[in-house]
Amino acid sequence: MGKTIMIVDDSASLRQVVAITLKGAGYDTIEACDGQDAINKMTGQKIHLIISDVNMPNMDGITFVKNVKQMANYKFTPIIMLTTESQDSKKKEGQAAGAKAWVVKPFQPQQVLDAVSKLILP
Amino acid sequence: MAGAATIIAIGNASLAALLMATVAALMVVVTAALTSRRCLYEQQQAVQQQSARIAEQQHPLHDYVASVEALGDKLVPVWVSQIESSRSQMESEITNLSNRFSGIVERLGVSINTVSSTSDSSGKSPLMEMLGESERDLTAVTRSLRDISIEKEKMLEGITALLKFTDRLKQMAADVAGIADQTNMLALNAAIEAARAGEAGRGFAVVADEVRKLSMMSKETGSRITETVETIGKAIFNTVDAAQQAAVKEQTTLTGAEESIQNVLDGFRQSSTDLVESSDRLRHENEAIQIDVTESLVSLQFQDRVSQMLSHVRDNIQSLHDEIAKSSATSDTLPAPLNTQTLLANLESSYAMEHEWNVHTGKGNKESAAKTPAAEITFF
Repeated sequence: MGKTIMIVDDSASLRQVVAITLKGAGYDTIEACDGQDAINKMTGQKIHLIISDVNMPNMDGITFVKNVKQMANYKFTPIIMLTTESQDSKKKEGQAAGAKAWVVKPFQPQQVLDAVSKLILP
Repeated sequence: MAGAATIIAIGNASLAALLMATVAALMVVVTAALTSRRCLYEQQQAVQQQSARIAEQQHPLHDYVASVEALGDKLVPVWVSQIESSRSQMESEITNLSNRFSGIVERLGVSINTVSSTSDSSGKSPLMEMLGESERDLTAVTRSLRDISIEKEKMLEGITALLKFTDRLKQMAADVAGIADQTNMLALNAAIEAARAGEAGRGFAVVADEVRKLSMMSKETGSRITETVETIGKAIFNTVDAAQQAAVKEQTTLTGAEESIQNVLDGFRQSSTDLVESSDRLRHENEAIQIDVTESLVSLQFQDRVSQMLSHVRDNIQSLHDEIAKSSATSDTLPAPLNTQTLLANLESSYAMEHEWNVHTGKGNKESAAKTPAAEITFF
């Protein structure tokens, strides 16, 4: 059974691109359209890594990361921020919230796969 | 009296002078007043004219303010709606497109796996393996048939060897017949000798007769043995002849079968090789198409970037609408100037991408705007 990665992005096409990239490398994926939707879908199943956008409706990515870090089952799940935001101040916010990496869109599939393989839980 | 008259006269004269002076003064005053009134009137006229001119000048100003308010109330919402409509349409269509691309990628993956199950570049495809197994099995069958044929030939050689024994049997039967003749001759001589002996040889004559009968029977038996051996010999000959003819036919059939099997296997091998080559080409093409479609999918990320840029502009135009509404004139106050700096600052604070900053500040030229920036990864 493959490892599971959650993709959180309000852009359906972006979720598709990320999902195709990850599935092609043998990962299983769960998709959520914003932070709140993602939390609703985190029901105790094993999630080996999370890839999240920053600017999203309902719950933004930084708030989502902070919430995940408070969840007993997922507080050690590594999170990669995948966003168009490239400002250092935003990156620092993400780092302070608990993210492990910051990838600025548009991404190249191999770069994301490299980051995933480097951070994903065993 | 005179004095009084004088006084009166003087008084009259003074009064008259006073009156004259007064009148003169009054005339001056009246004249001045009249002049002043005329001036005032003229000034009033001038003020009124000035007011009219100002009013005339204010009319376009009011029109301008009204037009700006109308821009905020009517045009700006249309701009916002159009931008949002374009953004949402693009998002919807790009999502559909990416869904289709994802479907194509997945179906190509299934197709590649299916093609790979019939062929692979190492040549160990199930089809070629099946061909090899068929060839081995069929070769084993023909080898078994060939072995059976060889065994039959050996058996025929054995049967043919039996024909030599029939000749010997016939000779033995002839020998038996010869012995029977000699015995018969002896029995005949014995009978003659018994007759000469008279009464004493009567018993011997009986024995001699019985021996003669036995010799006759032996001769007949020898003849029957000869006939039977000849019959058996003919049967063996016919059997061997038929078996040899069958063996020749069998050899011909077996050789033909081997050739047919080889032809079928050669044809099957050629078809399989062609199929494997076609499958290889198909798989390579599928893989190339899958890569192209995946890269196209990756390129569709522009939608997310463009959507965010349009959202920022849309929100800023909405802020312009609010700013215009806030600065509108009332019946008592003049319209406040629009706060362009605040609007610009709001727009700047909404930027997420470096490209937006570059465009905003005029640093980004058309070339850099068209170029997709490289991904940037920071590990914490």
